Amino acid sequence: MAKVNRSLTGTMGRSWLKDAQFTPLAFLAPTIVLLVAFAFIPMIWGLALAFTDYPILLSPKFIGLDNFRRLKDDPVFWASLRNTFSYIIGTVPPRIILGFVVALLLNQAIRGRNILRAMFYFPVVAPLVSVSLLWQWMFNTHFGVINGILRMLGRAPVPWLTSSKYALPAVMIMSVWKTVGWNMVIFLAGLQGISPSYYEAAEIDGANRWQCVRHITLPLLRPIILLALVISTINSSKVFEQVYIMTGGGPGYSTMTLVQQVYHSAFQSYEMGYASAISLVLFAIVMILSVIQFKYLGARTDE
Amino acid sequence: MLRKFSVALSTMLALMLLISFAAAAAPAELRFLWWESPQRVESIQRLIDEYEKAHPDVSIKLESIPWDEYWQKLPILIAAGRAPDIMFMVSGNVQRYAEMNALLDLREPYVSQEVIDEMYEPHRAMVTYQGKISALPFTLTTVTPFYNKDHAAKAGIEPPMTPENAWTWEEFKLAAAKMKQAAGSPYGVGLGTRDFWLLPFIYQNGGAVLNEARTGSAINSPESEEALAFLQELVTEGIAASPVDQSVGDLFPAGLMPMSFGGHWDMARFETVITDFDYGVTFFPQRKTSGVGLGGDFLAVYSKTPYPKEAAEFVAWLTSAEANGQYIAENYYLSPRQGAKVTYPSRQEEMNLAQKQAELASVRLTADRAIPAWDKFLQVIHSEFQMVMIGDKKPADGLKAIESAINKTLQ
Repeated sequence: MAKVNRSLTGTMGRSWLKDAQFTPLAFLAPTIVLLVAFAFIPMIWGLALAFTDYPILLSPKFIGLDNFRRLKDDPVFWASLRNTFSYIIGTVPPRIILGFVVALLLNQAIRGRNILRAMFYFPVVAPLVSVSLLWQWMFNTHFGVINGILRMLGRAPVPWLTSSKYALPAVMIMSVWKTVGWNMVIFLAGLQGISPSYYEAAEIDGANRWQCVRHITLPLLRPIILLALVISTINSSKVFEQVYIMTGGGPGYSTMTLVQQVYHSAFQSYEMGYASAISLVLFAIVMILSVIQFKYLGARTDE
Repeated sequence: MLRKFSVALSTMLALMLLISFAAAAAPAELRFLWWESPQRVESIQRLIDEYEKAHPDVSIKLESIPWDEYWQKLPILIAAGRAPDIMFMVSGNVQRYAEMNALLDLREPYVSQEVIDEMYEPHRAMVTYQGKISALPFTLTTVTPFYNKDHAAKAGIEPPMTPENAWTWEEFKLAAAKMKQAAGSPYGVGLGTRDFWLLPFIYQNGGAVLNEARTGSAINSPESEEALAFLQELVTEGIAASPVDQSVGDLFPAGLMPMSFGGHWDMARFETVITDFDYGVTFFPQRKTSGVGLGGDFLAVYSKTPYPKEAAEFVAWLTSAEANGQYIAENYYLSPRQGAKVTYPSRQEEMNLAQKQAELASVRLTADRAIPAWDKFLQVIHSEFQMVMIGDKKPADGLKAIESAINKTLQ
């Protein structure tokens, strides 16, 4: 029996060696090494740290599930979790819908189309820190241009960034403005990949514009929608800079997000273990959301 | 055979001696991590050059990191075994790093008791951890209320110029309201957004964040509640700017707000950006006491540096009045050495007033803010203050939440 096994292993080993394509492996090796060194190992290390008390300058001490028990009783964590979910819900659908609508409009043969495309895409390449500062001034209660317009329209000024009611929606508005262009480009690429013959055939059959969008564009764009949805959800769950600059997480905890709490715990409180535990929760949320999106949109794409 | 062995042994000894002489002759190479702006880097580099000239056996490499990144990079460098020999600290971080065994005890033989005695008492409390001196103060800072002279004159307000005449809360509120009206501004005053500017109201009313032993919270008291209710009144009545408004810092130098609570170091900027009006400095309003805290910049030596003596000597020299006087004057800081006289390029009177304010500082607030765990509940203090001040929460509820966070952390 042992003889047979040895013989099998030997045959398989030789076969693998024979079939192996060393050239692609050689080209991939540096990337794989870098990925392992700078992505996988830190990820596993981060995962392990979630079960430790690690004040960064001292050695990590294993504390089991204490960090997760602490999360349960931490009101700031629950506020951050709630805000992160609100932010995802408040930004992902508008990004997708607006991105799609703008792409549909700018896919038509209209004058100045390229300039308009560039204008919509400009916020994507503008530095986030600069645009956050710009919007902070635009949202200023007393001197901001947005309240200036409201006053001209006879409406009362809104305390955009200084009220716990409006601060998160204000950050969402800015974030949607910043990222619509990215979704627009993704959808434009998808739209240009749809053969015009489908639309011509539909027109001959008497379909109107809405029916064309509903029955041709949307089904054919499903993989693109899935891509935009997953990436937008991941990006929204990681929101940090604009909140940090525009509100600092306030008033109170009204704009505090999970990533901001990770930052606070890691670099202000130096509680690396606790920060890792929050990161792990965030990772789990993003993973679950992505799996749900793949399950419902991905399955239908494969049909 | 014996001869051969003797020759070999002598050669080895000679080589070892040569190597040890060479090592002794090589200058001590110190890495100095600093977070300041380019202008300040230039000032500090001048001082380094001066020191290196007088001490050819010491070489100092200045590494400058922007403020926003400093507190991320410093712990990472230390954890990665690339700690600088000398590092810059701010008030609240000294004891925290000392608790993590990262700072050298600078007491004798490194720094004389005489030098330690020259520190202000609140500063000494701040840098002392378990009886060890963990850093030396490089600058001294305290809160400074600024006012727009045009707005004050228009409102008929003469801000107090002596600590004895400092505004009471009621006088301060009235003055701010009058100046707001006279200036046609949205706010009368910007109070500041952080603990350094907000907590004095509690301490001057007889309250405190921590108990005497600093083992638990003392913030949930009638004195704190009264102070928080006063701050809430100021914001909800539109006299003070919201503590959340991140743009408030720009309103005073733009002439759009009559009063602003900042720091004397702001004058380095004000002297160039304020051109349309004149400004003055007054005392922080007070109640039972002044209650303001002291802050500042500190220099510390890494506990495992291979050059403790050289690094400590350099730090002692850099923090001496004769060495850092120019830096302090150029950047409108106060001297951390008692009795040191500083001549500022302008605004001498205003700086003298700021100095008097510093001399009234509360040891308790300064020392409370210095405990190693402070930053772990600071976020809760800021957030609860914000919610109370904008009227989203009652002062008593805010204080309860802060108390709970402090006790959880300290226990």
